[in-house]
Amino acid sequence: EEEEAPTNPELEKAKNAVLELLKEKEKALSHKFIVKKLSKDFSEELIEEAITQLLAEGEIYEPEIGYYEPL
Amino acid sequence: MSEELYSPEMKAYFESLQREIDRAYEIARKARAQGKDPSLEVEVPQATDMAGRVESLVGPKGVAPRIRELVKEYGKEIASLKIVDEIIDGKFGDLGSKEKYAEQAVRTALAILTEGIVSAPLEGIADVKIKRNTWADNSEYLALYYAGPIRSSGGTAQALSVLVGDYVRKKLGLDRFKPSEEHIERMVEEVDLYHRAVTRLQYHPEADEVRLAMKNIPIEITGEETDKVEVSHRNVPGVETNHIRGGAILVMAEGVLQKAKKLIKYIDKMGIDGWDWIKEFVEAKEKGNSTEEKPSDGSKAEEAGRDEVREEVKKGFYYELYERFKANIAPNKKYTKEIIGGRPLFAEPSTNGGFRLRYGRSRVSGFATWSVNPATMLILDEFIAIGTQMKTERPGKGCIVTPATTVEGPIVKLKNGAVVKVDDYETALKVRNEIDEILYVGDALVNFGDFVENNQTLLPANYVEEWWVQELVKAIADTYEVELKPFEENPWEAVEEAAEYIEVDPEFLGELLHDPLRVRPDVETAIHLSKVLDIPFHPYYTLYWNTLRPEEVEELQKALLNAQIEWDEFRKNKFARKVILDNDPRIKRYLELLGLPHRLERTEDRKKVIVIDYPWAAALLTPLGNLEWEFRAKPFFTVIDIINENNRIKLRDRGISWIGARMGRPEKAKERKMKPPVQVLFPIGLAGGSSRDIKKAAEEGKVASVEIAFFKCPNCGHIGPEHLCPRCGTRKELLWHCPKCNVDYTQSEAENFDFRCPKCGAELSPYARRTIKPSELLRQAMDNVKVYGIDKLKGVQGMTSGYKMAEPLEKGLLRVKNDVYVFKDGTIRFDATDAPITHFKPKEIGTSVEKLRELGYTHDFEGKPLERDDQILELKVQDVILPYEAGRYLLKVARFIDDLLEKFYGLPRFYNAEKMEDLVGHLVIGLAPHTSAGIIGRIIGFSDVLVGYAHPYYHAAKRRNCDGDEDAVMLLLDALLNFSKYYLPEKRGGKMDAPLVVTTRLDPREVDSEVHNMDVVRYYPLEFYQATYEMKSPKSIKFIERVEDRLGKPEMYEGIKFTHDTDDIGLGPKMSLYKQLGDMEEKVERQLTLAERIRAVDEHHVAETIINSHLVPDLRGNLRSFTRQEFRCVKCNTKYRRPPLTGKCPKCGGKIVLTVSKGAIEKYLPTAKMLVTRYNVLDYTRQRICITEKDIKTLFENVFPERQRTLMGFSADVCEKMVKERTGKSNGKNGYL
Amino acid sequence: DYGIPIAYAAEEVPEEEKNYSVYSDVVIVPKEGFHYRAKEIPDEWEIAFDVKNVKFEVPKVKSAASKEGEIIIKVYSDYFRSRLRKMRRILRENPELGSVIDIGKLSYVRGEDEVTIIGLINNKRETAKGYMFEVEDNTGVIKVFINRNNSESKKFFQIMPDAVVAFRGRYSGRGIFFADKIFLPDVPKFKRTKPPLEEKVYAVLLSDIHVGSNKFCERAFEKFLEWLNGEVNNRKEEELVSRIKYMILAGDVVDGIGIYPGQYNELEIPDIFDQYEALYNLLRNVPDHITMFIGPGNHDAARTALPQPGFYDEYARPLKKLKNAVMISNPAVVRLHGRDFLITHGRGIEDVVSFIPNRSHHRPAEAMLDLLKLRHLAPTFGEKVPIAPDPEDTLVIESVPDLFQAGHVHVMEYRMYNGVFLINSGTWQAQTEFQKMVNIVPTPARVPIIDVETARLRAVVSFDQFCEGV
Ligand SMILES: [Fe+3]
Ligand SMILES: [Zn+2]
Ligand SMILES: [Zn+2]
Ligand SMILES: [Zn+2]
Repeated sequence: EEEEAPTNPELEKAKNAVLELLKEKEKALSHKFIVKKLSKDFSEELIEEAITQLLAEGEIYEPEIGYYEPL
Repeated sequence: MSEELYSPEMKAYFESLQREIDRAYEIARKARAQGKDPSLEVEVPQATDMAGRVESLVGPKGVAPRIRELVKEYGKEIASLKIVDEIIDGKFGDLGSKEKYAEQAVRTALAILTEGIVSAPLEGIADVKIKRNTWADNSEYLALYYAGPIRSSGGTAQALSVLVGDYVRKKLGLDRFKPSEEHIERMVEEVDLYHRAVTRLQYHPEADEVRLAMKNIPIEITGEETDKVEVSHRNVPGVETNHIRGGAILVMAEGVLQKAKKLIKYIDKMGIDGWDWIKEFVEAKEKGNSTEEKPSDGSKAEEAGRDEVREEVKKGFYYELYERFKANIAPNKKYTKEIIGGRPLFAEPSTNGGFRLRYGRSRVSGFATWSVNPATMLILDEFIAIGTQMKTERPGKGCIVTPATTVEGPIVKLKNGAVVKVDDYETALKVRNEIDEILYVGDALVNFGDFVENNQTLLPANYVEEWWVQELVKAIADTYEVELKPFEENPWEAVEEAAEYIEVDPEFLGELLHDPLRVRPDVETAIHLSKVLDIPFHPYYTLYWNTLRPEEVEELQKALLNAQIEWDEFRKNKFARKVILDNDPRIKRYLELLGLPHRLERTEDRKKVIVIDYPWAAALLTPLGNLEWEFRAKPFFTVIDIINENNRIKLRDRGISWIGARMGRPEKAKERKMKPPVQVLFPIGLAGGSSRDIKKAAEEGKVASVEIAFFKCPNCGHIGPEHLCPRCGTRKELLWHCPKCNVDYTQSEAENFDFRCPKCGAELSPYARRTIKPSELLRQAMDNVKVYGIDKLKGVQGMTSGYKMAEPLEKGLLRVKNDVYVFKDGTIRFDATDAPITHFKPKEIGTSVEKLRELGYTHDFEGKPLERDDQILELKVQDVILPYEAGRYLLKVARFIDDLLEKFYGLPRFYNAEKMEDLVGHLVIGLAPHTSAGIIGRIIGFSDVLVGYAHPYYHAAKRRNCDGDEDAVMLLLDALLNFSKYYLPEKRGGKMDAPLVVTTRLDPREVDSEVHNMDVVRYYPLEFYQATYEMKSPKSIKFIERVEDRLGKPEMYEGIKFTHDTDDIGLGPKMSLYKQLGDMEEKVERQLTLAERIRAVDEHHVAETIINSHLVPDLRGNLRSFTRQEFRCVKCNTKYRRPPLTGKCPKCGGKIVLTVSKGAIEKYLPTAKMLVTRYNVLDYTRQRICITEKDIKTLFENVFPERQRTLMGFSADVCEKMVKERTGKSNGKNGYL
Repeated sequence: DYGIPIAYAAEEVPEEEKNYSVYSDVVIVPKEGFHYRAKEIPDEWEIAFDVKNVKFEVPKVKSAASKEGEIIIKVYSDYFRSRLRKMRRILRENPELGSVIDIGKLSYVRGEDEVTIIGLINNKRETAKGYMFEVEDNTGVIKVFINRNNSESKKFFQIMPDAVVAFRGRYSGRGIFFADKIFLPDVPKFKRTKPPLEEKVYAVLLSDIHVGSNKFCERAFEKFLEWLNGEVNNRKEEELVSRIKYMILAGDVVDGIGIYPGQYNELEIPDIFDQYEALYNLLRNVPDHITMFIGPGNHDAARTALPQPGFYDEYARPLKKLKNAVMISNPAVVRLHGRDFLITHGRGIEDVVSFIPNRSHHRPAEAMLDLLKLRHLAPTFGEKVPIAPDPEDTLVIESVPDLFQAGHVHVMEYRMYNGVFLINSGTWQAQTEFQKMVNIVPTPARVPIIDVETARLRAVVSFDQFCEGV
């Protein structure tokens, strides 16, 4: 029995945006910068959650606390 | 000159200089007008520019305005030819003969081409003649007669003079010089002979090159003999001497041939035809070279390498870089070919551990200068002091050394086993006596401009802070879109934003950006920054990884696995705080070679261990991934390549490019004294004894017979050496003398007779051998200036000037009173090594902020108002900072001048200086010995060093770079009052080193063009460092601004920047140890102790080179000259080719002495023997010394028969030992000492 | 090196062993059945003059305080006084000379009296009307003038500084001596004939072998040794070889070490001991019945200044192993069957070439003649030839030789003068880089063979086809 994971389209968008940004820079980015960069499109909480999910999915990792880099 | 050349500030500056100049001239004119000196006028004409100098130096009269016009329209080169046209067309008057026209034209044109500064146009061309090709078709041709001083004009100007000569020849409608085989071969021989027997030529052409040049150069390059060296091609028609013609040879070899390539540019620019041969010559030469180069080892190796690449061998980045480096830039051993006793070798060519190349220009650097950390000077046993010359491997041949505290000092191993980085003076003082080995000598800061000047391919840059900070800035811009600038105070908001993203303290970030050479992150932050910004590890924490081979690092890592490591964390980043290792000598050596600071400690169980403390434990372990991955050597990868492949934090190599250097001349700052010292240019003959003491002669009531000019009073008939009649105060007339009839004629009479004797027709002489009574003359002079109780008054034995006019004795008395000495031209000089400076701090020169504001220094170099004495100010181009020594001496000179004004000329005192600070603001003339044009300078302060600090432009205005030359300063008023052409020696070169003209306003466009290559930027951009890895030609680098780019704009005077600051321009040893050592043995001993200590120096090689380049030539030379020496009479100084038969001087009965003593031959023998005993030198060298010893001994076997020595079974004597070893027999008689 | 390990860059290991030969393998077996007539002729030689046999008068030091320099000055003046003394003796043999007077006594002579003075030439110069000399003897210095129209004045050009010359003429009383005759020491026009020999014996003259130089013609020299051992081409040569009884080597037998800057790079054997070892290995192949006379030159391990008493024993020790060799000094006189052979290395030629017009390195015999006329091997002090501080001048050619041999300039040439045979014996070294540069063309590997009876050339045998670079 499959239960569809509750998809939040906004969250997916945010995740994509974070991933885009990271891929564009090809470098580790600081949490503060990501938030600031995406703040006009997404709320801070949403970005926060997007990052948490991306980390959990293994899409990105945290080379140093507060910095993220795509895998 | 148009107005927009200067900013208002510069305009005001030059005007204030001119006001001071005018003031001095006004006083001098008043003094001179009194008629107490040879000329009624001031004899140092002012020139504002090159044109003015040319007219003053060589004429013709009225040429200056024309030169200005023509230079403006056509540039210097073409203008010089146009002037030739106009001179020959008679626009500047009728000169009489064709020859005279030719001569004037050549001199003026050459003077224009050499900026009217060097004396070459005056003294370097002895004559210009029109001669005939008698051995060919008897046609007329032009001959230029060169003399030794042509050297001072430099190769390019020498070559140009030939071109000008040819132009003149054509203009006069003369045929070509058609040399016979004899002429050609004579020159071929002479060039070679000169190189062998006189001085090494910078460029030693092949015989065929000389032949080609001789056949094709359309004028005759000839000259007077310069050296008593005979040629074998003798009595060549039209060549007046069978001796070497040094001037002509220089022009041929170092002029036309060496500068052929440059000459082509001028030939095209000046449109001179008939010189196609030289283009072909250059082309052929370049082609020849390139075909020759192809099969060379380097490229062969490269090709071999390439073959392997096809098999897909992957090479590490640095491995590849090193390979290219090796193939493209070979070590240059030239500077190590000669090592003088007592002047150490500091680093072998391109050797790891020698001087680490650092690109940049400190504020005490300009051209041909290296700045090093003062700690390096100290650790090198103070052989290098500020201003000491070094002979260098590259980019140029030599430099002087100045301090820069912002570059790295040495890394040393102490006697207790600890390794210490010595980056500051205090540490250096602390450890200097504890040093066991100098692992790394330290940085040499060399400016990019010097690479351009010498066309030296850029060497891969070593990783340094100024590079790292730009990578930091770039990473911040790329990643976080915040634009920051290094070496600046950045806007606070930007700094704050960036700091927020990279999570560092904004204050700290701001300071780091502003002064990255002094501010550095701690190691945790460095790790953090590298990690999050993906930039290389900070250079301070980067070790010399590539000094080790990968296998060695493998070994080291294994040892670290067993080490005791204290770990810590920062922002969850693990780093090592402390490492304790077993004291395995191999592992210890690896750590030493890495340049890693560590120490030895005894544990409780008395075991010795290696301890690495914070931050070095992290510096060692971070690149090794805190041992989380295994370091494994692999072929074609350097240590850094392997690290960068495995580690998150990457490294750049901090030690790729090394430069070698040895000590050259020591620095100098000393008053000039003639030998023997002179206080007044007044002849005393033999009456004054060996010190030429006029006082003594007077006291002893002696009468002296001397060659001297006398003057006669037209009013009362008084005759004597004074210009002004002591009886009636009238200006007297020079007496001309007929040596045959022994009759005098007054100036006016002589003029009427056209300076020929009306009785016998002989040429009249302005002087005669006359009798003087020193006591009377001295008494009179003493009364005149009220100087009595003096000890001595040193005159000269005889005068060498054309007129032999004596200086007023009063001047001598006042010099004695003030303890100063006079030079041959009447001026008082102070000599100092030239050192460049572009920026200074008030506190460094002992001048108050208030005084400096008065002098026009209102803002610091960053544009902030001048308030504190530690702000950095940009030096104005004609301001000079003199050594204390000079200050003390010039203070005495100033008192002398004041006395002279007051007591001799009856004018008010001028300087009124009590202490040397009182001289600040006063003017001097700077003058280089090979020139005849001085430049006005303004004293702004003093520094406790033995160099004369001045703007690089100022040195260039004297036609100097700063590679160890020394120049003179004199007080302006001294030169104006006391200089006279009538005092100058008549011999060739007599006009050199005399202020025949003085430049009042410095124009950077009219100075030695070498300085135009000086870079003027605050830092070299990232592109530059990239370009160095590509080993580009410096000429291809267009993005570093140099003086050249600013010429003709107001910016050429202002806004010059430097890349590296220093705490103090006077920090460092004041005097080279070399000057403090005693005899040769001590010198060599100290030099070798240092050689043994420096890792980058092979002491055996040093010993061998000292012997072969210094000691043996001296020993053999003296041995040779002893047996061919001259003999001298102690009394009358007559020289004899062999001793008179009676053993006494036939002239005066005086005692005859040797000119080369037995001691002179033996002097260096003990040193040489010590060296061949202690060091591994070639057998050849050892035998050479032993045979020389035997040669000396046998030379005297019939003079001092040796007493029989008792034979001993064992001898420590190196020669006896060698003989025994080689022949099985001991020879007890061999030992000489 | 840039301190980085590069895999293929092989380390250069300096070779420890000698990479040169000292000719220990050159062993020449005499040709079987070759008949040496010379073996049967009894030896008849003596060393008539050798510097080693001269007892120098060591200067007496007046006081213990006498300084080194003073003693040296004293010795050097003694040297020239001894020259004057010896030359006076030679000049006085000339009957034309007339009455000789000291320069110091000229003022006592009446103006019209013709007298002769003898002295050293301090300097000389050309004037408008003739030639002026400054002449010095033990009693004073005087200016001597000779008119250009006087044919005697041509001798002006032959006179070198410090040579001793006699002038006959009148003293003017104003400090100038007007000469009308100049006497060089010279040699007599005719030589006393010496008794003939019963049989022909020959001597070979060599010099400037320069063993150790990379330009040493080793193959040619070995061919020469083989020739001496009977490897001849024809009957004529057989006769020559058969009668060779003496061999003279006039210096520069090895190339030496440290003789000029940069010599190291031009040496095959950069070791002085080995150079003499190599020479020994070659010369041991000279047949035993041939007596060798070996003297030093400026390249040898010997005193650098003239005269050179001999080789330094400790460096030239291998030569002692040659049973049939006699070491002589430079200069030396070897008397062979009553004929005097004056042997010198010949550095004096250098000064002649630079002083006397129209002389050249390429024609050394002419220069040797100039020296012979001045009866001195190196008259001028202070120029190219180094002269040792010896209290006696042993470079004076005191007695007239039958043959005068020199080397040094590497060009074989000979001539005859008043019964004296002058010869420069050439070299065994091909043109060096330096010689190439200064345009000196040597004539290597040519062996002059002298008939001892007449002391003249019998033949020249050439081996230069075996010498590279010729
Ligand atoms: Fe020789
Ligand atoms: Zn008067
Ligand atoms: Zn007259
Ligand atoms: Zn004297």
